[in-house]
Amino acid sequence: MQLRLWVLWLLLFCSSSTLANYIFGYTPNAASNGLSWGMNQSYLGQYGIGGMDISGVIYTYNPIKLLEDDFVVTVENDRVGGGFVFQDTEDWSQKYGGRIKKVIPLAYTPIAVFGDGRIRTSGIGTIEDASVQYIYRFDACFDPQSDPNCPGYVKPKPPKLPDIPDYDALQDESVKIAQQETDKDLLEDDEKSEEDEEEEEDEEEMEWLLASTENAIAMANGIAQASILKSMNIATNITNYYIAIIPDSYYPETVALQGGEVVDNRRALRSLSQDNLMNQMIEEQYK
Amino acid sequence: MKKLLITLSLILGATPILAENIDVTGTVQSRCTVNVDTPGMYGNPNAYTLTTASASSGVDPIVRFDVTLADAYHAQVSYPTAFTSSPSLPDTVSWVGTVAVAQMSTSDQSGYQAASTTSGSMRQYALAHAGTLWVKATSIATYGGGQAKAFPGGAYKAVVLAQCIAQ
Amino acid sequence: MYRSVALCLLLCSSVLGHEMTPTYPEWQVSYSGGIKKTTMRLWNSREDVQYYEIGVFDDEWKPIPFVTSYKIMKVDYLSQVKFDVYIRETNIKDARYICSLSKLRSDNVSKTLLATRICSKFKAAWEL
Repeated sequence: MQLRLWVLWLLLFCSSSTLANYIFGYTPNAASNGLSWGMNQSYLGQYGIGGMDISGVIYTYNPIKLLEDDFVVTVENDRVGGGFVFQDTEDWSQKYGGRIKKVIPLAYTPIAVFGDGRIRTSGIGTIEDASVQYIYRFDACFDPQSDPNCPGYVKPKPPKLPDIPDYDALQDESVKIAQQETDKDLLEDDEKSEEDEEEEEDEEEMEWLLASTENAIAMANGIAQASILKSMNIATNITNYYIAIIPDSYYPETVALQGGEVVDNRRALRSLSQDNLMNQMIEEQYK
Repeated sequence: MKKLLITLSLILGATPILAENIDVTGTVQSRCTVNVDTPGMYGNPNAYTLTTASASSGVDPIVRFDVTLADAYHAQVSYPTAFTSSPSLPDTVSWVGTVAVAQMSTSDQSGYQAASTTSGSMRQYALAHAGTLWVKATSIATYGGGQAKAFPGGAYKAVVLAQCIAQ
Repeated sequence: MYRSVALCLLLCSSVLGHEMTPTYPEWQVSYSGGIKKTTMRLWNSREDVQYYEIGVFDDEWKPIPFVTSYKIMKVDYLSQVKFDVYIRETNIKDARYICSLSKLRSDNVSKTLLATRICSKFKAAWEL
């Protein structure tokens, strides 16, 4: 009886508070690819799933407009089921444009309540460099099965074992074939052909060895010769050839034309006509 | 079981509930807070120029003014006109700068820049609306009086003064 | 709404700020005849600044003699200081602004420093 009382006392007054495992942060820019977005992972990052509670919105944009133009910009998020989770409007009518940055605080609101978000404009003007970020906390244990440390985690059952049929080796055809007597003739032929192959391989190997030995000598001779030549070339000093001076002497011209003028050789003129005739005769063969 | 339930109710009834009211007091009053949003940095694109322009690896300083009451404060921002610390500079240094609104928290503040007044290097904004205002200053210092002399090596510091003056 | 917006901005971003209240202080009777005092509160959220200089000025920004416990007082990061400012009764009609100016330190990097000054105003008789 006393034990039961103590147990009750402990159960009633020792309340265990389960502290949720929260991750706090900011989403990436939901308006990076346009002025409307959905509340899902592709816009909000990896935590844009059930378990995210949104506590605020930070938005910024730069309106481009003329002073005299009317221009209204509204940043809003739909509420599932109708209406808006929040709606913030800036009226730029008859005002200069200028980069704006605002924070909209919200009570922690589950992401499931949020519908699509958008930046809606009306009037004459455009907006550029728009950024919309959501301030959030994410409950990692929203899905208890995501982590064994989460309260409410149910250890999954082990997978069902596959049905393994009964197997009788004595009834297996493959086993029966394997148990048949081996044909020895086949074995011997195989062995003989293997022996022949081995002999051929041995002969070939011997040939290779001898060839490489002879070649080795030739190669060694060649290498030795090359090294000797190289050493000779190094020893040769050809600098002297560059700076050598070849003695020469002057051979004066001995043939001189003794006055008068040079006349045409009439005999050469006669041979020219003979040459012409020769050319014509050669050309005849090509006609 | 019955005895157990009776015992339970007695336990609950007998437990004293300790409670105390603790007052948390405070006042909401007009205030202006001046914050450093971005501390500036001088870039050195050539030997004779120090500039906060981002194209020259500098950083423009940005000040943030938070006011909770409209028409209570003036914001004044001055770009530098002298180095507060530098190596010895025997020649003249010429100073150029600008002060402009960079960002605001409400469209009502969009007229601040047009309505601002200047006095030398200082620009004054009348903070006619509660909210937050970001003001950016730029600064360029050139050495040599037009003859493009190289700045001596060393650390250079200049001060941007941001003031919030009650109206 | 704007107060909540401003407060959220303070909490949500990296805060390097400086604040002094009240905006419109009033002179009060002090312990000594011919001397008046006022109490100011200075809040420091600038990690790079630990000292603030107090000054009292007239309409034309000329200094007015005054007394505080320290003219340059130490205010640690994320802390506030309440201080009394005493001036002669004869100077009250001239005293217009009481200001706190951040005192900056130097290091080896070339940069622009940001000095912040906040001034509260003593309202003139015709403004009351």
